[in-house]
Amino acid sequence: MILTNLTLKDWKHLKHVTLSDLVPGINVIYGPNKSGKSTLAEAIRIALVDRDHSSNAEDVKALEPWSGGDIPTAEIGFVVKDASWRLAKCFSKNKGGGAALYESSSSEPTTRDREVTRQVASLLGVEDSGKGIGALLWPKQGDAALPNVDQPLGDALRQLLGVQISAGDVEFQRVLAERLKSWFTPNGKPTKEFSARDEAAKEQRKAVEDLREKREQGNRLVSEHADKKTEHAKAHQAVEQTRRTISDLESRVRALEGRKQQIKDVKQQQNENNEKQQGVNSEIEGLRAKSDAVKQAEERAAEAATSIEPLKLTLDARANDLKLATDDVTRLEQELKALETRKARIAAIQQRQAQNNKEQEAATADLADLKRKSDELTQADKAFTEAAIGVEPLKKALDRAEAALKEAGEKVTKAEAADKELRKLEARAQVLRDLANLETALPRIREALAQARATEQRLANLRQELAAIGPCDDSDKQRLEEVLDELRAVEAELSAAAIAVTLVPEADTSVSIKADGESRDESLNARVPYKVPVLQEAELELTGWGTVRIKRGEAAGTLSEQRTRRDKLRRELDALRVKLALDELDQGNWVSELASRKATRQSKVGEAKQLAEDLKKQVPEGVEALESTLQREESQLTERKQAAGLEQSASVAEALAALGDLSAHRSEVNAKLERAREERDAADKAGNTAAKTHLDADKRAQDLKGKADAARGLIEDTKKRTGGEEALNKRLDTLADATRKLAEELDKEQLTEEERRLPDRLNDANTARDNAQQQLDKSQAGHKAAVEAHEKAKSAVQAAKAVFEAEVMRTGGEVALRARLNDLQKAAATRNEELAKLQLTPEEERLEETLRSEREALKTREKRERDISDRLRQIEGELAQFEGLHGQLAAAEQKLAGMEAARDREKLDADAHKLIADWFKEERDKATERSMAPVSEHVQRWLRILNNSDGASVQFSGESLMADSLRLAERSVSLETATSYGEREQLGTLVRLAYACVLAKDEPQAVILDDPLAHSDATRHRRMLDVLADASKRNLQIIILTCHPERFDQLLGAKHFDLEQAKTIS
Amino acid sequence: MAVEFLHIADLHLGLRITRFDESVVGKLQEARFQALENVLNEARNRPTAFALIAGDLFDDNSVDLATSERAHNLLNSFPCPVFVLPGNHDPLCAGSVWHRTPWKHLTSDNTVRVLCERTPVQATVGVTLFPCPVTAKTSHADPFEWVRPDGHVAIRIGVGHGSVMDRAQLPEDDHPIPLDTPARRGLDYVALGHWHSERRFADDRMAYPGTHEQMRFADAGFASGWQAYSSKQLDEFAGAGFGNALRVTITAPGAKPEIESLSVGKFRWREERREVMNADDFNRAFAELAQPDTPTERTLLRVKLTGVLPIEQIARLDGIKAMLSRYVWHDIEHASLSLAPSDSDVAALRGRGMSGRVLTRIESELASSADPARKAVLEHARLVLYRLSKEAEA
Repeated sequence: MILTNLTLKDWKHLKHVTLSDLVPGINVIYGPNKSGKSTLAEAIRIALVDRDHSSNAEDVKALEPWSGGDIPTAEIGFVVKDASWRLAKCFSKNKGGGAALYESSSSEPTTRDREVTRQVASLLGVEDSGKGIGALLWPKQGDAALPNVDQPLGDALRQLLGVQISAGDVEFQRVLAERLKSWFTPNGKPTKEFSARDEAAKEQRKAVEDLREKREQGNRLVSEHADKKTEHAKAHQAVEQTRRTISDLESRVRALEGRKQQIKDVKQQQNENNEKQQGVNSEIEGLRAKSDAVKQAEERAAEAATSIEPLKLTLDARANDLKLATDDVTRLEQELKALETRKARIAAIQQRQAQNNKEQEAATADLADLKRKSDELTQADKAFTEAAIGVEPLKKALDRAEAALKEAGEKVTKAEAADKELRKLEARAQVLRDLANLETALPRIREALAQARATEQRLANLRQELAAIGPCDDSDKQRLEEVLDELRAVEAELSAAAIAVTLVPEADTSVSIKADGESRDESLNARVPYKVPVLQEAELELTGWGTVRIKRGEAAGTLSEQRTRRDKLRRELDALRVKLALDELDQGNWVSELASRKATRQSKVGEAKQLAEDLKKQVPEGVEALESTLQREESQLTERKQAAGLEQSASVAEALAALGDLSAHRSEVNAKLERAREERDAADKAGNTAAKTHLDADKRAQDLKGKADAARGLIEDTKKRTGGEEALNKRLDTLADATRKLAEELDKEQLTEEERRLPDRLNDANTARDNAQQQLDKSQAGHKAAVEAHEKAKSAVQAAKAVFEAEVMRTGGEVALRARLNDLQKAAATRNEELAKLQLTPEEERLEETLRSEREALKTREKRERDISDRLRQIEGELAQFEGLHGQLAAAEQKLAGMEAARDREKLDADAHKLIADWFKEERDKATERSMAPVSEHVQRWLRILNNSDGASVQFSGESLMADSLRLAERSVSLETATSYGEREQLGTLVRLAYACVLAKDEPQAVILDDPLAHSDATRHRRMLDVLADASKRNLQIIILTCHPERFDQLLGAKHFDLEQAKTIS
Repeated sequence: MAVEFLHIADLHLGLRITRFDESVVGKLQEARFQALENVLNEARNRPTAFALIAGDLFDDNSVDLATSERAHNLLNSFPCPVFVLPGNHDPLCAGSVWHRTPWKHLTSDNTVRVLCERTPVQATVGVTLFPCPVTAKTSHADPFEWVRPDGHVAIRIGVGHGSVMDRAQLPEDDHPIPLDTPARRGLDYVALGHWHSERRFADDRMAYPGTHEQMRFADAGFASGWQAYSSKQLDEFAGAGFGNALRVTITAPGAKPEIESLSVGKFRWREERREVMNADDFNRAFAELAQPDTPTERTLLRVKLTGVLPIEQIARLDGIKAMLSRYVWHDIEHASLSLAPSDSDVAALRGRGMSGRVLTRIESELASSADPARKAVLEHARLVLYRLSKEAEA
C-alpha cells in the first residue's frame, strides 16, 4: 500500500489538514512540536484499520475537535495492487457519521459504513495497527522495539521468505511437545513424576540391598555357628580331659594321705623310740650312778653308818616321788599321742567340710543360673503368648475378610453368570444381525456384480478400440512436424535456388526428364509451357527432338549439401510415416491425423481409466473375488441360518425381534457386575490389608517363639548339665545333710577343756618330775652325806644297797637295759628304713597344688563350654527368624527388576524424545537462518553503512522469526538491551526497514516513522539517511514526521511537506 | 531281590525367580509342585520300592514355612518311603530348613525321611543306602569318602549331591565326585543331584536326573534371577533339563541298573531365534510361532529377532504380542534387529522437512557411533521419530 493523500477535518486540535500528492519514495512532513504530527500518524492508523466510524473506543471519543466543530472526518487516498482507493470516515454514531470506500475515481462507494474497515483491513492485510504488520510498518512515536510476530505477519513473512515449515512439521512438533510433557517440564527439567519413578526404583534397590545384607548376615551366622561348633567340641574335650585329670589327681592325693599318715606315725614312733632310748640310757646311767652311790654309800656307810637309814628312807620316798612323777609324764605323753590322732581326724573332717561348702556354692550358682534362664524363658513365653493372643483377633479379622471376599466373589460369580447368559443372548442377536445384514447385502452384491460385469465388458470393448487406433507417440509426432517443416524449408530453399527450364513444344509430345538424379516421364501439350526445375544438372530427352543436357557450375556446392539434407529428411520422413502407419498419399493430413489419433486415444484412455476406476470403486477386490464372495456369502447364509437353527425360509428379522431389546438388560447386568466386582475388589483389598496385618503379627509371634525356643534350648542345656532344679535342690539338701553330719562328727571329736590343757599338764608333770628328781638328788646327796656319815654306820650302806637293788629290780639291771637299748636301736633303724621308703617325691609334694589349679582350670573351661553352647543356641534362635527371607528377597528383587526395566525403558524413551526435540529445534533454527537471509542481507548491508565496518551479522529466533540479536564487530547486542537508546532506535529502525523490504517484495509498503532518529548523533544520523534512501529504493514509501526538517535535507528525492502550510490550504 | 525306585533331584521348591511378572512367578513356582505331583502319580501307578531326592529339594534354607510344609505334606503322601538328601542349596547347617518345623519333628512313622547322617540306611529289604548329606554350600571333599567297599550281599546305592569331575575346568570346591565312584566305593548305583540336565556315567551306574521341572532358558544371557550356590555359574546349571525323573531297576547286587527317563515337568521353556530380512520373513516367523509344537498354556516362549525389519512392522509387534499372549509368558527381544524404514517411508519422512532432516542426522550418527548406549538411544529415536510422524500424519 502506498498513501497518496490525506485530509483531516475537525480532528482533535486540527481543524483542517490536507496532504496531497504523497510520493512513493520518501515523504518528510515537518512542523513544530504540538503541530499535530503524531495526531496525523495516529489518524492514519485509526481511520485505516483500527476503528469503525461508530466505534465507542476512548481514542475515538478523544477525536472530538477541541475547539468544537463538526464531526471528525478523515479522507485517505491509497494505492493497493495498482488500484487506487479513497476512504472517507466520519467518526460519529449519529446521523452525520459514516464511512465509505471508493475504488479509482468511481463516485459510488464499493463499501459503506462498518464494512469499510474490514474491507480495508483485507486489502492491506493489516487488522490492527498495534500488532504484527501494522506495528511493524507504523510504529508509534518512540517505539523502538519490534513487535511480536502474529499469525498474519508470520504467514506473510513465511510466504515471502519461503520458510520451510510444513504443516506436517508443525503437527510433528505439537505431538512431540505433548509427549515430552510426560518427562520434562517446559524448561527441560525432569518432571516430579518422572523423578519420583526413578526415586522409587532407587528406594526399591535399597530395600533389596537391605534384604541381601540380611541374607549375608544369615550366612555369617551359619559360618559362625560352624566355627563355634568346632570350638565347642574342643572346649568340651578340654573339660572332659580336665575332669579326668582332676579325678586322677584326687585319687593320687587320697593315696598320699595314707602315706603321709604312715610317715607321721613312723616319725612318732621314732620320737618315742628316741625317748625310750634316752630313758634306758638314763636308767643305765642312773643304775651306774646308784651302783656308784652304793659303793660310795658303802664307803660313806663306813663313815656314817648311823645316818644312812633315815636318809635312805628319804631317798626311797624321793625315789618313789620320782617314779610317780615319771609315770605321770609317761601317761600324759601317751594321752597326748592319742590326742594327736584325734586332731588329725578333726582336720580331715574340716577338709571335707570345705569341700562340701564348695560343692554347695557351685550347686547354688547353677540353681541361680537356671532360675535366671527360667525367668528369661517365662518372659519370652509371655511375650510370645501376648503376641499369639494378639494374632488371634487378627486371624478372626482375616477370616471375616476372607468370608466377605468369598461372599463378594460369589456375588461376582453370580453376576458373571448373568453376564455370561446375556452374552450368549447378545451373541445370538449378533449372529442374527449379521445374518440380517448378510441377507440385505446379498441383493446389493448381486446388483454390484451385474454392474461390474457390464463395466468390465465396456472396458474390454474400449481396450479393443484403443488397440485399433494407430500409433500417435508425441515425440514421433513432434519429430514428424519438425521434419515436415524442415523439409518444407529445405525444399523451398532448393526450389528457390533451382533454375527453371521451360519447355514449350510446338506439338503434343512427351519428355523423359532426369533432373538432379530423379527421373520421370511427362506428356507435354502443344504450346503449353512446362517448367522443369533444375538444381545441378538435368537431362531432357524429348521425343523426336533429342536429348538436352543442362549442368550448373560447381560454385553452387551448398545446393548439393541442401539436397543431401533434403534426401536425408525425406528418408526420415518416410521412416516416420511407416512407423506411424500414415497414408503416404495423404501427407497434408498427417499432423491432423496424428492429433486426431491422440485426441481419440486420450479420450478413450480417459474413458477406459474412468471405467477401470469405476470398476475398482464398484468392486475393489475384483469381479472374480466378488463372484466368489457372493457364492461364499450365499452358502454362508444357508449354513449360518442352519447353524442358528432357522429354516431357510424363516425370517431373520422376526427371530431378532423375538430376542427383544437386550441393551437395557445389558446395562442392568453391567451395573450389577461392576458393583459386584467393586465390592469384591474392596473386599479383596480389605482382605489383603487384614492378611498383611495378620501376617506381620504372626511373623512377630513366630519371631518371639523362636526367641522363646532359643531360651528353652538354653535351659534344656543347663538342665542336661545340672540335672535340673529338682536335682540341684536335692543335691543341695544332700550337701546340707553332709554338712550337718560333719558338724556332728566334729562336735564328737571336739577336744575337752581338760584335753586341751593336756600339754600344760605334761609340762607341769615334767616340772614335777624334775622337782622330784631334784628332791631325789638332794636326798641322795643327803644320803650320800649320811653314808659318808655312816662310814661310821654300815646301815647306811645297807640302805644304799637296798636302793640300788630296788633299782636293779625295777630296771632288770644294766644287762637287761642294754639289751632293751639294743632292741630300741634296731627298731629305730627299721623305722628309718620305713621312713626312707615312705618319703614323698617333689611332684607328690606339689600334688595338691596341682589339683587346685586343675580345679580352677576346670571352672574356666566349663564356663567357656557353657558360653559357646549358649552362643550356639543363640545363633540357632536368630537363624529361626530367617525363615521366608528367600521368598521376600525374590519378591523384592522381582519388583526391582520390573521397576528398573520400566525405568530404563522410560529413560530410553525420554532420551530419544529429547534428542529428537533438540535436533528438531536446531534444524528449525538453521532453516530459519537460511530463510531469513533476505532480511539478514538488508540488515548486514545497512549495518555496514551505519557502523562503517564489515563483519556485522544478525541471529534470528527460529520460533518467532524475529531477530534475536545483532553481532556488531566484536560484540553481540540484543535489540531490547542495546546500551544506548540512540543505538537501540537506530538498530530497531534498521531491522524494521529490513522486514518492511521483505514485505514489500511484491507490493509496495508504506512505513510511517514518527519523529525517527531523535537520539542519533550527527554522524550516525547522516548514515541513517543513507540507509533510509537505500530502503526507499526497495519498494518502500517512507513517511517521516519530524520537527527537525533540516536533518533530512540530505535525503535526495524526498518530498517535504510543511504541516503548517498543509493546515492552511483548504 | 530286584528293586525298582524313583530318582529325582534339584526340585528347588520356593525357587527364586525375579525376572518375570508376579503372576508368572506364581505359576512357575506352582509348576514345581505340580511336577512333583506328577512324580507322586508315577509312584502310585507303578510298583515303586522308594523314592530318592538327591539334594536341593528347596531352593534355599530360608524358604517360607508354607513352601516347607507343603513339600513335607506332599512327600508324606507318597505310597512308598521317600528319602531326602540335603543339597548345597538346603545344606544341613545352622538355621537349616531341616531343623525347623515340620522337618525337625519327623519320626519313623513318616513316609518321608531326611538323610542327615553319613551312615548306611536300609531303604528296603536287601537295599542299603549310603547317604552323603551336604553340610555347607561348598566343599573340597569327596562326599563319598566315607563309603567303604564291602561284600555284595545287598544292593548298595549311594546318594550324593555334587559335581562329577568329568572335565578339567570344573571348580574343585563344588563337592567333587570322582568318575569311578561306583567301582571305587563298591556301589551298584550312585543317585546324584546338582547338575540340572539328565546325565549318566560309568555305564549307567551313576546318574543325574536333572531338574524335575525346567527353570531357565538355555541362553545364559537371559537372567531369570536364579543363581546356583556354586562358586562358579556352570553350563551344567544353564537349564537344558526338560523336567525328568528316573525310574531305576536293579535286579541283583552287582547287576547293571536299568534306567528309564520319565517326563514329569509341566512347563517347557522354549527359545526361538529368527533372522528376518523383510516383512515376509517377519510374518512367516510369527505365523510359525502361532502354531506351536507344545501347548501354549504350558510353554514360555522367548523369541530373539535378528536381521533387518521394515520399521513399520515394529508397530505390528503389539498385535503379535497379543497373539502370543496365549503363552504362559512370552518375550520378543528385538534389540539386535536393525530397523529399516521403507524407501517410501524415508521419502515421506525426508519430504517432511525438519523431522526428515532429524532422521537423516540420526541415521548418519548411527552409522558412525561406536558407543552402544548412544546407539540404543539413536535406534529408539529413529523408531520414535517414525511413530511421531505417523501420529502427526493421522
